[in-house]
Amino acid sequence: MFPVLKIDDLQTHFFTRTGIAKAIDGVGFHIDKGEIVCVVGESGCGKSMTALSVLRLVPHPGRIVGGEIWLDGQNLMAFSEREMREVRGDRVSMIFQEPMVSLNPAFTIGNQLIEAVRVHRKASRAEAWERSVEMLRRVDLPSPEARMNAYPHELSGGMRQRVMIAEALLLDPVLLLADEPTTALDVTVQAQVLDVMVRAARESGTAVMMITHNLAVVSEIADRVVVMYAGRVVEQGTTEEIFTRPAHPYTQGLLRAIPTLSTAAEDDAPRQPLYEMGGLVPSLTDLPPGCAFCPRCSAAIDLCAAQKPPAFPLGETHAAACWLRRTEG
Amino acid sequence: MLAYFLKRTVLMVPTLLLVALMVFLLVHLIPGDPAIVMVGAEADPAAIENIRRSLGLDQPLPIQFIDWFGRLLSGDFGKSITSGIPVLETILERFPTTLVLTTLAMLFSVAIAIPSGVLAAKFRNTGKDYLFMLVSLIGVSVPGFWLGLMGLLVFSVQLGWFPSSGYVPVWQDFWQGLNYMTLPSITLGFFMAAVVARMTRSSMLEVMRLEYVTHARAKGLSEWTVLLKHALKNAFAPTLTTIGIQYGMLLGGAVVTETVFGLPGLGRFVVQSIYGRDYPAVQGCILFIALVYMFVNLAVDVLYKVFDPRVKF
Amino acid sequence: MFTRAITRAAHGVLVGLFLATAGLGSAQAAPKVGGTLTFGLPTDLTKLDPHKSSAFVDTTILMHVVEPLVTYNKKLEIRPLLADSWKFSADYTSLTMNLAKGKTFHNGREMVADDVVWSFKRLLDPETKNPKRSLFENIAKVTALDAHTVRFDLAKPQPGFLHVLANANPIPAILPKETVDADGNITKLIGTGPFQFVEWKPTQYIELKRYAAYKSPAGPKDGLSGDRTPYIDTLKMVPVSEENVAVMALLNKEIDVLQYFPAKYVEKYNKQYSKQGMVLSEVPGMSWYQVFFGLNKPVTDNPDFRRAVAYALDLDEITRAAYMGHALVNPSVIPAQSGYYTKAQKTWVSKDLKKAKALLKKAGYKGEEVVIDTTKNYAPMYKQAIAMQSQMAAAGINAKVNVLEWPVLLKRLYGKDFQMLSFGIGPKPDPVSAYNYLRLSSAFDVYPEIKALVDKADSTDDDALRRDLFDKIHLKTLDTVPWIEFYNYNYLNAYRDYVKGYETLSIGLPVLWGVWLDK
Repeated sequence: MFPVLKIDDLQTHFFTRTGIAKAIDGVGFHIDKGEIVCVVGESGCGKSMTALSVLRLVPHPGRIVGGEIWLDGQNLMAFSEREMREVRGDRVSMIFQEPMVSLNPAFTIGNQLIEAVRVHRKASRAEAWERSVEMLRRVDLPSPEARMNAYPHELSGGMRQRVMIAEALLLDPVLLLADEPTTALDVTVQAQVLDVMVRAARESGTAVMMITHNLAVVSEIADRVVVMYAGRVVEQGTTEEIFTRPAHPYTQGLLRAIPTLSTAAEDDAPRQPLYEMGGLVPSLTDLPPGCAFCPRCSAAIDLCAAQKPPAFPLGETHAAACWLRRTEG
Repeated sequence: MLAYFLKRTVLMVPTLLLVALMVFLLVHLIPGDPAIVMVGAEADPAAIENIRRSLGLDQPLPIQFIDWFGRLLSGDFGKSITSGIPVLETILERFPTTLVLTTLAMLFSVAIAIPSGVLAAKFRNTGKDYLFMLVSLIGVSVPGFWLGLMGLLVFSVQLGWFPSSGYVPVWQDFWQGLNYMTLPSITLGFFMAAVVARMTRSSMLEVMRLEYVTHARAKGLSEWTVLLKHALKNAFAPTLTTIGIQYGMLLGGAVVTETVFGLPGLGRFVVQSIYGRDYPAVQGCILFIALVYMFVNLAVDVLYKVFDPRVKF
Repeated sequence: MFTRAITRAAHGVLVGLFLATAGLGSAQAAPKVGGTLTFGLPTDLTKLDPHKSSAFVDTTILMHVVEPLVTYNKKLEIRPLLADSWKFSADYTSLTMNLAKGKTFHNGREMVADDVVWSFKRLLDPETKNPKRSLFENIAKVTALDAHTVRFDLAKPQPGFLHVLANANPIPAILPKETVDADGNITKLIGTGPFQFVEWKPTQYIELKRYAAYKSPAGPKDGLSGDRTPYIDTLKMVPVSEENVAVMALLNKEIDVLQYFPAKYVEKYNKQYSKQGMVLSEVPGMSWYQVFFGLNKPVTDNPDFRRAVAYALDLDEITRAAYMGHALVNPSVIPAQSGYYTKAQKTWVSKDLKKAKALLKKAGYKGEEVVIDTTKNYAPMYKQAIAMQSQMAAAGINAKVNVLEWPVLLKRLYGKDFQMLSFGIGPKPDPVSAYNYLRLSSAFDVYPEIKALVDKADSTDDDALRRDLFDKIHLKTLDTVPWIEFYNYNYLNAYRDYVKGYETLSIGLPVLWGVWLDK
């Protein structure tokens, strides 16, 4: 049985005037059927580009220059543009970060949902309408019939993101790419929307690649976690492995940066300030020859600066790209 | 909607008052004297004074303004100094020609500008795009006068497709009128098309960077559907404003085109009136043009909502 | 007044005083009646009412529909039209005229003395508001002595009064009462002319048709006089204001005659159009261009300075600059066609920079700026100003060209508010009216002796005496230089070769009676 998604040594570069930006520089991971995998990392680390690469919608002047993307055992890189269109929105759908700008302001919700159905399915407008309303109901959007005739700006952010979720799951895709779907929302509705998305995905057996930088969310919903830094995967493993035994200094840093209840509650523990990682993310047009995290890493050794670390397996599901883990491999 | 329309219409009144005052001052402040222009270089000063008196030009300016404005309020635009014909009558006689010319030019320009703007955006930074940019640059920079003459030389003198002189209004004989209007409206439309196409291209490029366009692609829509449905409708709103401004401006008179093709439009009348210091005619025309411009603006604003539902009235 | 076809060689040199090769030759086929002729005008008719009009273009059109009592022949002599014969009183205060019998208006009614009385009453009525009413002011009274005899009583003696009655712009036309509507306006013009008015579509066309019952004066066609029989059935006069387009319209045969053919196309005509069935005629005209001096302004109030300018200027060069050779250099107010154009009138100083500089020194000129006002609305006025500026600079005069809008230039002229003013004016066949027009330059105030000579010429009909007086005036201006006259430009008319018998008069009027189509 094939994984739903398997990415191998993906390289997506941006050919800008100032040089080649290696937004994705050799990413590889997989997602099994029905699995929820969270991709975490700071802004600009290539998480979103990975999702867009899967759909082969990397914006100009970006281009996938290497690697393979397999969907259900089919190599998407070998697909024609026409075949890719059949994949998009049907077998793989995507939810965007900003519900304020990801729905087209010029068309009604109904128009956009019906369009999503009819581009892939032979359905009458009435059937598509029915299906859309049904889906809106599943994502707990109040009075879905009336919302069908509403324009995006007439809905709140949370409602719009429910619409996006409904649209993404309309055709029971095998894979849902969710790019920080709750980041832009009010804190109070974030949990509800996330819950709706996860529940709906689980119901339809859809695998989810969830991009986020919110580790609290990760710990709640993820089956497995992929940690990215400067266009590379630095560590991946099950949620438990990542949270309990983070192997890469970057992962460790990320985890220390979460405000946890425990840090705040333990009376005897010294009150430590929220952890901040020193240094800056390196420029993607000018990555260091060795480990990209090396300049910020307090544990770095000479080798780190000189040579790119491969992924060292730390267990059946756990691996980290760090020279410090070499012995363990 | 109706309330909005009424509100906007009412709001035009103070604007028009201001325009009336300014136009009056402006017209009376430019040097020159209608009586002198009327008699030319061969009259004696007594005759000029006589004419000045009969035109009321010997009165103090405020009195002249009150006199003109008072009659304006009752819908009387006054009589042309040069021809003695009521100004409004001439305006209403001439405006339809300008309206037809400008509308045809607009339709023509939109018909070629929107597709070329969209195509240029689709093929941005490629040879096709550069070619488009070049042609549109020529379009905005070539003097209309020259373009009109070249058009006549090729299509009228060489090919004999269209007449080079004369005029028949379309409402007198539709097909013949159209025959007289084709070259002028294409000439005028070419400039407008260049402006509109450049606007279309840039607002398409603006829109195509937005997330909902990526979203539309992620739905599996074809590139054409993405361009023509999702991007264009949004990009059209700012383009519409450009079209509105151009259209409004040209409704005031496409002077050069009207002159080259000898069309009896409003623009030529305004210029002739300014030339002859025909105060009532200039004032009446400018006021009328201001009114038309305001209505075009209103129409654009109302239409804008069709393309951008976020707009609230 | 003579026409000639332009040949390649004739460029620039004016041999204008020979009979035409085109149009008017001796061996012509008999005229054919019928057809439509489309005539290209530079602008639209401004007023259909001859009594209210003051625009020259109106005369071009209306003279085919309405008629005055007397008119000009080619030599600009007075000839009968609606009046058969006339007699002045010994003191030139009254003129008795016998009207032509059997002249009918286009509504069929016979023209009688009452119509003359009514027409002059209307023309002179201040309510009619003719801007040039003052031309006719000397008429104190018009009386119908019987159905075919009228008497004009004049306020003061005026031997040249017949020129007033023959005036071209406005035409003192004899109209029937029936032509005015209840409001006193004319919307359907009725006259006695060779063509009757059909329709005026403003900015589109004026349509006239042949008046079949027209009774022409006796004698052969001569200028505006003699045989005036119309042959064309329909005359369509269309304004084509853009000169380039007008040429195209003529090439396309959309118009058959173009009244003003642009000089810049003459070369193209010689090379190409002449082989495409187009005929060009060049007629020496009587419109004249000049520069006025402000006799009341610093620097230009000094006669030595003005004389210096006269010596600085090369009239040939200025004429070439302004009209590309299609004009005749003339330092006189009187046109070459006139019987008063004597040897004395041709006298002027030759360019002499030494003399100019000496005069400047004498005048105490210290390089002060002298402004030449002009306008671009009439290109020759601008071009001659530029030519003057550079020639004056060569003599050491610091001249500046100041381009104004036409209405502003006119205002300066009337206000006598200029140092130098570059200008031009329409034909003035009678020298007295030409000099009277020049009073605008304030020369009459500064040099009353000139005014006295003009008034004397105005009060006599003795041609020899008048000739002598005009010579004196001209020599006086040679000394005082209140203005410098430059040239009279030629009328360039173009028409299709099937148009026969067409000619333009030296006063700029195209004659369309006697014209027929040979298609």
